[in-house]
This record gives sequence, C-alpha cells and structure tokens, in this order.
Amino acid sequence: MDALTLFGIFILLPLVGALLSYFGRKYAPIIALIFVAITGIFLYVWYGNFGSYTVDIGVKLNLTFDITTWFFMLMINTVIFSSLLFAVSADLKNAGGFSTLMLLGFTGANGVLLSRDFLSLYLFWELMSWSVYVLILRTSGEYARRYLLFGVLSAYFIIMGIGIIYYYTGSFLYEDALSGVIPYYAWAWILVFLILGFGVKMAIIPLHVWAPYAYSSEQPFVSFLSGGLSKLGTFGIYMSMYSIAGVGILDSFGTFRGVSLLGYPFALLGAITAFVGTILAIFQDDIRKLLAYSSIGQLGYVMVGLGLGTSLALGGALFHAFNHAFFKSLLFLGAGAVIYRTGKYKISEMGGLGYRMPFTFLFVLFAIFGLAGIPLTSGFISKWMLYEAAIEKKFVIIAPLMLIASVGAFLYSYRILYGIFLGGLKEEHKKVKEAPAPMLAAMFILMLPLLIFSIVPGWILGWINDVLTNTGLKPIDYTQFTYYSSIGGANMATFWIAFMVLFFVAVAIFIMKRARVVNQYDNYFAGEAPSSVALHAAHNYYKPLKDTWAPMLKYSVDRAYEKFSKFFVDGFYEIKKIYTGNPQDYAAYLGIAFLIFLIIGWWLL
Amino acid sequence: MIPYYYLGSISLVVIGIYIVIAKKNLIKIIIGLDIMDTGVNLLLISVGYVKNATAPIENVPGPYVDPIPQALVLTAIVIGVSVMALALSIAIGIYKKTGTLELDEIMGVEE
Amino acid sequence: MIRPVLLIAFPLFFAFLSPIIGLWSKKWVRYLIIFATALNATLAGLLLLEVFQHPVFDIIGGFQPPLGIVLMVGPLGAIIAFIINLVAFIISIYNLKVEKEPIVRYSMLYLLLVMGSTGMVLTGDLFNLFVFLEVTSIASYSLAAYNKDKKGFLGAMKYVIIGSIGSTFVLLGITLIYSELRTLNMLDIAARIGTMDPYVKIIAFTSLFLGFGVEAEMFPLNTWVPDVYDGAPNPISAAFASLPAKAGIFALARVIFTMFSFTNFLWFVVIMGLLTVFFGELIAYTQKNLKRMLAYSSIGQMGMIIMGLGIGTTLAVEGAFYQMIAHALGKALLFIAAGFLIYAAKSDKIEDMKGMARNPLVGIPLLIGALSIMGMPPFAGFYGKFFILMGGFSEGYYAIIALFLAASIVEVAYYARFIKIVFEKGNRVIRPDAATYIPLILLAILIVLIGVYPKPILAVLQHVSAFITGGA
Repeated sequence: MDALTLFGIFILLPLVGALLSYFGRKYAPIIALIFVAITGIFLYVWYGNFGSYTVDIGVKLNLTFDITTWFFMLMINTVIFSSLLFAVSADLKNAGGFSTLMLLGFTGANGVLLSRDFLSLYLFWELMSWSVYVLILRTSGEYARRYLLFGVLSAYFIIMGIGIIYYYTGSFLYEDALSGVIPYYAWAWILVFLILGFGVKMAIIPLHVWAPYAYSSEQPFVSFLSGGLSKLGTFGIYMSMYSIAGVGILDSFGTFRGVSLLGYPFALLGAITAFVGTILAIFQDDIRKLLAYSSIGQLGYVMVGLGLGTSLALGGALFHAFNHAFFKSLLFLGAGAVIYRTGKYKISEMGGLGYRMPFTFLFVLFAIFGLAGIPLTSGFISKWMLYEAAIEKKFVIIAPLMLIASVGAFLYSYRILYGIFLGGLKEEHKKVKEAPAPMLAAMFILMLPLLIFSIVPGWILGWINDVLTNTGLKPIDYTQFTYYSSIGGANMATFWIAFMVLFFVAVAIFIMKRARVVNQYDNYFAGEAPSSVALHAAHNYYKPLKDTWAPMLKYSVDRAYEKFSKFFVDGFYEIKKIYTGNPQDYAAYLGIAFLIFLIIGWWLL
Repeated sequence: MIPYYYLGSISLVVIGIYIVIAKKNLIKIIIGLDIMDTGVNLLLISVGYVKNATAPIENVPGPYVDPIPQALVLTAIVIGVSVMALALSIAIGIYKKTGTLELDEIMGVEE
Repeated sequence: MIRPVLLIAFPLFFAFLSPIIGLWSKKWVRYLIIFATALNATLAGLLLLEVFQHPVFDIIGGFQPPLGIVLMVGPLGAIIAFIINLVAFIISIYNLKVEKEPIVRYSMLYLLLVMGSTGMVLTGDLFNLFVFLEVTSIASYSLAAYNKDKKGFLGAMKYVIIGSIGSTFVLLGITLIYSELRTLNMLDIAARIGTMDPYVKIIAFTSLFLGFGVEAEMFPLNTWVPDVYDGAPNPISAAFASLPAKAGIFALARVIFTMFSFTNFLWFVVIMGLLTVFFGELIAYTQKNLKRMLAYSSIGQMGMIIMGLGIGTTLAVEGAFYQMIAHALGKALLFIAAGFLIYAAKSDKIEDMKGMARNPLVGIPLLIGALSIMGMPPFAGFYGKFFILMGGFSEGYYAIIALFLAASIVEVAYYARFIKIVFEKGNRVIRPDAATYIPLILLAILIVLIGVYPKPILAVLQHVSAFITGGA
C-alpha cells in the first residue's frame, strides 16, 4: 500500500461514487452501496497494514492509517452501509442527490479519521459538515440553517485551536505540536477550543440545540449522522486530548483526584449533557426528537469518559461510542421503517405495531436494550465501565447524574417500545405491512455487532486496547468475557449463564401456566367497547413526571440563543445606518478617512 | 520649502471637496469634482516647472521644463473632461426621472 | 510568444468594431463580445504559461524603461488577468440575456470594462495604471446607469462622485511620487522609494491607498457598492464584483508591496480589512434585497482579501490571491444566479423567491457558489480563507481573527437564510434557459476544480514570496 492507494480507496473512490451516483436515479443508493462496500472490503483487508503517508494535492495532506482510524472507520463504514441499504427501498425523492451527499459526508469522515495534520483535518471536517447541511436542507431549510450555524461555529472553534498551535509551531502536523514549543497556558486555550469545536458535533450542552432539528430529517441520513458522523466528534476530542496534547500536558494543569483539571469540567459537562438529554428525551412525543435527545444524552456519557481520561474511562467511552453507533443507527432506522410504513411521527398516534412489524420490533427491542444498558447487551458493559471509572475516582456528582440518566433512558426506551409496538393497534394501521427486506437487512446488520459484542466483549476490548496503547495510554485489563477494574469489573459469561437459566425457567413457567392468548383488540375491555383509538394510552405519556419537571423545563437553551442573536441583529440594523444612501455623506467619509490615514501614517513614521 | 503655487492647487482640491460635501445641488457637486480635478492637474503641471526654462521644443535652446508632466496632464484633463461629461449626462438622467437636481429632494422622491 | 499588450489591444479593437458590426446585425454584436472575451481569455491563459518562470516586460512605443511605457506581467498579475478575462468570457455568455437596447453601446462599454481591468493588472507604469483605472471607471459609471431607471442613475451618480474623488487621490499620489522621484515606472519607484521624503511618502501612499481602495471596496470607501450593484443590469453586477474589484485590489497590493514596502503600516491595513469585513457582513445580514445582500457580502469578501494582504506573510498573501480568484468566480456565479432569481420571481426581494432555485440547473451551482463563498472545501473559497486565517495566526493576530470569524458566522447566517428561502417548497419551479445555466455550470465546475485540485493555482501563487519583497 502506498499513499495514493490509501488516498484513492478512502477518499477518491467515495468521491467518484458520489459523482456517479448522482446520475443513478432510482438506483443511486445501490451504486453508493457498492462504493461503500469496496472501501469496506479494503478496510477488512488492510487491518494491521498500518502506515503513514503524504499526499500532495498542492497542499500536503498527511494521512495515517492506524488502529484508531481503523476502529472508527469500522463504525462509520458499517453505519453508512446499512443506512444506504435502508435507503434503497425508502423511496426517497431525488435519491441521486441523497446518495451523492451521503458519500461526500462519508469521504469527509474518512478524511477526518485519516488525517494527521490540521489542514486536512479541517478540510475534511468542513466537507463532512456541509454535506450534512445539504442533506438536512432536503428536509427543511430552517433546520439546515440551525445546523449550519453550529457546524460553522464548530469549525471556527477548531480553527482557533489550530491557529494557536500554528502560531507556536509553524506547522500543521499533529506530531509537531508535541515538540514542546507550546507553553502550557496556550494548551489550555487550544484544548478548550478543540474540545468545544468537536463537542458541537457530539451535541454537548449548551452546543446541542441544532441536534433535535437536524435529527428530524430523512431517517437513513439521520442514522448515519447520529450513528456515524457524531463519532467524529468523539474521535476529534480523543485525538486532541490524548494524542495531540497527551496526558502529560493534561496533567500539567493540576489534577483533581487524579483527573486533569482541564478534563474534569468536560466530564462534568458530559454528565450534565447525559442527564439533561435524557430528561428532555422522556418528554418528547415526536419519535425523531426523542431519539435526538437520546442521542445527545448518550454522547454525554462518551464525553464523561473522554473527560475523565483514565484507561477504564477512555475504554468505556470508545466502547460506548462504538455501541452507540450501532444501537442509535438501528433505532433511527427502526423509526424510519415505522415512519415509512405509517407516515406518522408522533408516538401517541402509533401503537400495537409489534404484530404488524415483528422483525422491526425485534431489532428495535434489541437496540433499546443496548441503549438502556440492560445487562447482557454490550451497552451495559460500556456504561458499566463508565460508571466504574467515575465511581473509582469518587466523583459524587458525575456518577449519580449518569445513573439517573440511565434510569431516564429506561423511561424513554419504554415510551418507544410501548407507544409504537405495544398496546392497541389503530384502525388505520391494520393494513400496515412489515418493512421491506432491504430495511430489515440494514437493521439486521446493525444488530449483529450488538449481539456479538455483548456475549464476547473481549474482541472489541482487544481493539480498544490497541487504540489505547497506540495513543500511548495504559491498556485495560480484560479477558474474552470479562474486564477487570480496581473496584470490580464485569463478567459477561456469568451474566449469560444466569440469563440462560432464567430464560428457560421463564419459558418453562410460560408453557406450564398455559397463558391465554388474546386478540390484540381484545385487551382493556371492561364491559364497554370503545374504539381502538381510545385504547392506546401513549398520549400524554409521563404526564405526572412532566408536571414535576415543569418549572425546570421552561428554561430553554434554544430561546436563550434566539434572544442572544436578536440582540445582535438589532445592533446590525443600527450599524446599517452608516450607509445613509447620500453621496455627500459618503464623500465626507472619504475625506475623514484621508485625514485619519494621514494622521496614523505620520504617527507611525 | 514648498513652493507657493502648490498651496494654490491644494486649496483648489480642498475647495472642491468642500463643495462636494456641502452643496446640495447636483450640478454644483459636479463642479466641485471638476475643481478638485483641476487642483490636482495644476499640481501635476507645476511639478514639472523649472525656473527660467522654456518649452521642450527642438531647436529651442534649454534649459527645458520637464515634458512628462505636460504629457500626463493632457491625458488627465481629457479623462477629467470625459468623466464630467458622463457625470452631467447622469445628472440629466436623474433630472428626467425625479424632476429635480437638489440632492435632498432626490433622496426623498419615490419612483 | 504572446505580447501582453495584445490583451489590451484586442478588446479595444473589438470594442470599436462593435458599432460597425452593429450597423449590420445587432444579434452578432452579442456573439462578438463572447468571441472577443474568449480570445482574450485564451491569450491570458497562454500568457500565464509564458510568465510562469519569470516576469515579462512588454515595452510599448520603443522607449526603454524607466522612461517609456511598459507592461509588467508577473505570474500573479497573469493569473489575475486570466481569471478576469475568463470570468468576463463566462459573463458575456450571460450577456445574451440582456434585453435592454442599445446593445451596441452595451457591448462596447463591457469590452472597455474588460480592457480597463486587464490593463490595470498588466501595466507596469503608475500613470498608465491611473489611465486604465479611469477607463474602467468610465465604463463602470455608464454601465451602472445602463438600466436608465432611478435606481441605476442614483447608483451611478454615487459611484461617479466617490470614484472621481478616489481617482483624484490617485492622481495626487502619482504627482507627489513624480515630484520626488521623477519616474513613473513601478519597479523604478520601488528601487528608489527610500530616497523619498518620508512625509511626502506618507501622503502619496495614503492617496494611492485610498484611491485604489475605492475600487477595492475598502471601508469606508465602499459606500457606492450596494447602490451600484443593485442598480446595474444583472450581468454587470456580476462583472463589477469580478473585474474592476479584482483589478483594484491587485493595484492596491502592488501599491502596498511592489512600490512602498511599508512593513510598519501593515497592521493598519489589517484593521481596515477587518472593519471592511465587519461592516460588509453585518449589514448584509439586514438586507432584504438580494443584490444588495450580495453586494455587502462582496464587501465582506474584499475585506478578507485586504486583511490577507495586510497580514503580509507569504501564506496570508497567497491566501489573499487565492481568495481573489475564488471570489471572482463565486460572486460572479451568485450574481448570475441572482439575476435568474430576480427574473423568475419578478422581484428583487429575497422573500419573494420561495423555491425559485429548486431546479438543479440553478440550485446546484447556487449552492456550490454560496458554499465556496462561505469557505467550504472542496470549493475554491476554502484555501484562501484558511491560508489568510493561518497567516493571521502566525503573526499573532488572535483577537482580529476571532472577530473576523464572528463576522463569518454572520455571513453563514445570511447565506443560510437565503438558501433556506430559495429552496423552500412552494412556487412552481422555473427552468432557466441556456444563457443562464451554461455560465452557472461553467463557473461551478471551475470552482470545484480549483477547490479539489489546488496544485496548479498554488504553483503560480508560490511566486507570492517574490511579490511581497517587491517583485512584479
């Protein structure tokens, strides 16, 4: 493998695919799928075939293919593959444009992951950023506008970070940043800018307000955005904190119970994000918004891990990011399948679809288990690692916040489960069919890793350990079924055996009791026969809880931003008055400018 | 030491700018522009002046004045004239559309 | 061997040929300007290849420099001239759409505009620079008023007043330089600038800086821009943003770098650039009229270029030149698209343009243009912006860059608002005709090409380091 091959396969090939698939009309997602599959194959073939290369397109792009890149690429590749597979049968309007933009986003993601210099990082970051913008634009210009403002904010934070590094080193390479020329107070600025910049993509509070809007676009794309592209934020923060800066510099700011003072506030922010995201998710009736807030919350967990910075925390963060990529994409695709079949977004308008769409139900159920961190799923392990990382350091704010958020995750998961798949079927949904085969296949692909890694977490922990050692951190202590920490760890083998025993006991009881199978429309009757619409109780779900939280819910970051921007726009109108439209004023400006220039010129002399 | 005729040209420029800024009539403004232009042209021609020198013509014994500013100022005058002509024609256009040449009124007149 | 003077002679020839052709057929005049600008663009391209290694001096009239008139073409001048002519060619295709009579005079003035802008870039003589500036200005004044409505006349009047004061300043600066140095050749001036009386030097520099600042849309000399861009015919708005503005800024760059190498004045240029960006972008946000919004946005972009020049490191000036190219292409594209939108919506208010860009023939180029102006890769605008920013950082202008980025967010905000409206579902989609979408697509392809593979442009721009230290 040489520079051009690497560049060709991971960057040029998707770009060519993007160009070709635009003209693919109905078959565009399939064309895109083929191109993604090719990169996927190379990703598989080239595992272990790592190296660093430079590509010259006028500016030098420093691309490195290593285990970190590979690990993140694996997620993104799988997620985009299933998203495109889903899109094949989703009847999108202008599917050509959709596939093109997806592949552009994919190219950007690959580039961000491969780049080891700031120029190419920024280049591909922005490429990814605007292709997402145009994808959202397909649904709504207003959502896209909100996204773009934050996308650009993120890019400019990153630019500030990069710029400060460039001021000291005069080079764009990551490795030059560590040459010791950057004083530690500058590192504080650099890291804060970079973390905030990448944090926008992870939707860290208070930079999350774009997410609920962006995640309300077309489901196959949102599944890629939430599952795949948001992981670039994780990657960026991981790289900037532990690879570009490194633990030594982080610890030079002082430590709090062994955690860097720079990392701790971000861990706290992550915990708050997890908490707030989850609380807000509970009260959403729109399935897309619910999943969006859930996504915000879950990435808050990842942020906690990245902020804490111990091997256990980072391992947990990477593992959780990995899990999130799969279960959240799966959920979005599941929601997409339901929306595709019913045309409804509101949870309260659905219900009882479990019998109509059994496979979708099964897959979504599995994703929900992972999301809620129910034991037996890989989501449990990663969350458990993060809890332990927080508890180990005795962080009495972070750990409880995360635990509460986990309970909250349970609540909104149940809302999805009950509101969509259980309960009474609505009259108008009686003809609803199971989702088309490509959609099911897409969901199945995403379910597989969740299943496998919940039984054998050791495989993925092996990769995570490689990533950690590659970054220069201590590896985690693990075996095929177990990981160990100073306060316990978790053994999945025991869990599975216990589960299997309990499962068979339950099955035995079920068979022995001879439970009566009732018709779906037969439940809840109490002498009266109301219509099936009234039977479904997903309307105003969690109302008591919502009433409890009402005093808190009236504060909205969204509105704060609107006020903030209105203040500035009023200022713009004031400034506008300078351009009076009268040429005499303008001539006077010219004269005044001449005098001012002269005075300054003389002064400078 | 700055020659006194420089002051004349500078004052022309200042007067021109003053007219452009202060006078409300378009024609006067255009005249102001022309005065400015004239001031600079005067400066340009005076730069080439050499005391007791004659025009740079063949067969006339020197010392000559610098011929280049003369060539330059000719060009500048031509350019100035054409800009003035254009400005006046635009003023005519404005008058046709608005019926006035007073700048305050022009700004107020809606189409 | 291409003589640079041909780039000036041909448009002039065709400009005065067009009335003669016009006697015979009005239709052919339109094709004549396409042919003339295409020829010019080709010549400029060949010239660019030729001057790649070293600057070319074209001596006019047989007098040797520094006495005689000379054209001085370095790689940077050549590429700007090339871009100017290329864009002029592409806009001239869009000119086919111009309905207003008399087309003959229109073509003539358009070619004079092209010729003047090209001349400003190619000349090596200060007084010739003034002459070309005036040719450009006179053509611009007339074209600005070409619609013959109140908006056009008033815009042109403002332009005439500000422009003449500006060119008076230029002439003043030239006079002062001549009075001290007795030369008008730029390289000669550069060599002997040290012998100048410092006070006269400051006045001369200020005069030239302000004079070219008018064309380069620098704050506070850019007050004419919105009115003129708004009042002019649509192709001319596109041409204004790409031809005279670029020539003006290149002249400004030559004043700053080639002639006076004021290094202690540069921070002030940066501040002026920042102010330009600020006023441009912030006011653009308040605009409801599309062409005015684009005009203010153009001011903002030019401010960024001025900032890049002021920062003065190789990287930043490289970025500034890259940005000139990107802006010439991007703004021309947006103005052509704006022309279509105004035509389709029969209104110049943005709010009336709901869904007008939903046809991909307009929509995709429009998006590419807007993203390029925002500085997104892989479009032309990316490298310029990035280099200017990084150059700024390397000189330690943190606060200025931060403010600049804040203004950039405002820029993104109003472009996003505009895009939101024109892609909204609603009105029926109107299909553009070939004279509209061909230029749009050509420009979009160029923007993407330059952005995806910047190597050729950067290879030319590496001569910036020689330019900064006072070369051609």
